[in-house]
Amino acid sequence: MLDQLLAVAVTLVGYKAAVLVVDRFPRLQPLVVATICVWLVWWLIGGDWEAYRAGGEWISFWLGPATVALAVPLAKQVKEFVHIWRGVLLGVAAGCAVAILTVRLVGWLLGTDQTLVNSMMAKSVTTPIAVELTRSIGGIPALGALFTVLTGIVGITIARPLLPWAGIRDDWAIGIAVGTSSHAVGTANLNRVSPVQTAASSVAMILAGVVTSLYLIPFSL
Amino acid sequence: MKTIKGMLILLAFFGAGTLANKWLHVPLPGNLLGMLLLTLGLCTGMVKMDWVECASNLLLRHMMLFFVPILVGVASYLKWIAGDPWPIVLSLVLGPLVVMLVSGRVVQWYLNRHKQKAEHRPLEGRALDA
Repeated sequence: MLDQLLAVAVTLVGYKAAVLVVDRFPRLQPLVVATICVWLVWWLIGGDWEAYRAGGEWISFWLGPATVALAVPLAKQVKEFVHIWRGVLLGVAAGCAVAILTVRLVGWLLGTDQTLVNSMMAKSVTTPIAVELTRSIGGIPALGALFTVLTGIVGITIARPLLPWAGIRDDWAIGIAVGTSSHAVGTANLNRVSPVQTAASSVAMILAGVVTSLYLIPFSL
Repeated sequence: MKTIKGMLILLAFFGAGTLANKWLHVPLPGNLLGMLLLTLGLCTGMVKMDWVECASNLLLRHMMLFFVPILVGVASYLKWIAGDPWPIVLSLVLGPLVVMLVSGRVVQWYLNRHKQKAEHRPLEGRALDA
């Protein structure tokens, strides 16, 4: 129990430190910096990893209410969405199809282990859905969660140079691109930039979850 | 005080979403269902924006924090990746890149067309807004 409290404390302090570091160097990703800080501290004090996982759940639990909180930016943008829902749905559906195709293509070209491929297929959708989907198509759920978060980090890292270069400039186009490719990690990142992009990204996240679940039905066991 | 009340409302919707997922077997996770329910509540005015705005802003500002334990906790799986890293690295980089380009370009194309239409028929566009 004491171990778990320590894990919570270390995570909070590591996050706070990361926020301070990112304020000084805005090019760094807060999530990556925080993870490295926490990992280093826990390793240095020789903490038990099982205890960290148990304690960490006290914090990752709040991902649930935080996702619910996305309803606020979403409700503020609902009118705009109703106006352009066709384009949004088309974009998300195309993006989700490409997400699954790239994983299968890379797996096929490099002759990857099928369990690994299955664990990566759902990596573009938000973590709780990705875990469930990975289980249903015969992948390893924890690995699915890891790939999902890593995909999100790659997504927010490449978004800043990539999107302007590709002429993706409107708030809704940016939000949908980030939400479809890097789910809640991307959405959390956009929250620092613009409420419209955050709302668009939440819409994309929900739709991507639904569309990907439908796409993966043929693969489920 | 307002933040605490808002937090309780958010938790209640999260709980409702989780129950809907478990008992009614809705194939979406509880947090997404909770988000949809709260959006519905806010749009119909059953939940006032003022009740949840503070708490929501607080959680969203620190959303990154809630991912940290997931990432730190699965560090032991790095062995899996080290064994055969190339397919994973390639998928992890290529995936978001292509998805972002495709979905973003499609929506941007649609919005551009949408705007052109609105410019050609300004009266109709204004009628829709009103």
